[in-house]
Amino acid sequence: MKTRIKELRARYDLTQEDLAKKVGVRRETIVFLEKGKYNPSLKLAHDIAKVLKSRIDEIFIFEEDEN
Amino acid sequence: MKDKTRVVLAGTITALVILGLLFFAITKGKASEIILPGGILVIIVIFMIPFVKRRYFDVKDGYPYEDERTKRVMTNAAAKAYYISLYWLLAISFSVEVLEIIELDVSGAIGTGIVGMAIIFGICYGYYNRKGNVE
Repeated sequence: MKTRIKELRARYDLTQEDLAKKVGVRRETIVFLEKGKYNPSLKLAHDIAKVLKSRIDEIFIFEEDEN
Repeated sequence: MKDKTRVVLAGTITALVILGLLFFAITKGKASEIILPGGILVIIVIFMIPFVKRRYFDVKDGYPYEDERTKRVMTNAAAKAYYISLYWLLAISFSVEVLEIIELDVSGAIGTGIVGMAIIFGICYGYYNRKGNVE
């Protein structure tokens, strides 16, 4: 899974700490999400999409063979 | 339960366990009887104090005490630790009863089992916490 969290975060001038606090998770969770090492719950994906003013499928990109 | 309350509770329990074990170790005269509480104390110092300290400062900075990833890490670590602990207990039993390479009374065997389980859980927690992708 690839994510555009880092790119979108930079667009809205948010640090990992800011995003973590806004969506109510720990900073390491954002680090793992940005690296594509953690699959978030639908609720967390929704909250991140809301903060980054984007759609979930614009932020989280799944590779074909992952499905 | 509020995050700050949880941190205070975790810190209090850790402090009470340390004090209890220290008291137990001091009041016991024999060195062999100090090994077990001493071992538990070392484990607590290695695993619990950095954990509680980190959580304390995180909550102070406005982060949650735990989130969905840490809950998954805890669940996975507990499940794996339980599974591995069965082999650990079996190994103790085998070493005492069949191979007779170590001598343990009932309380010694229980203590060794608990210390081993705590270490196994700590290792599993560390592994899943670093792995990142926990389902």
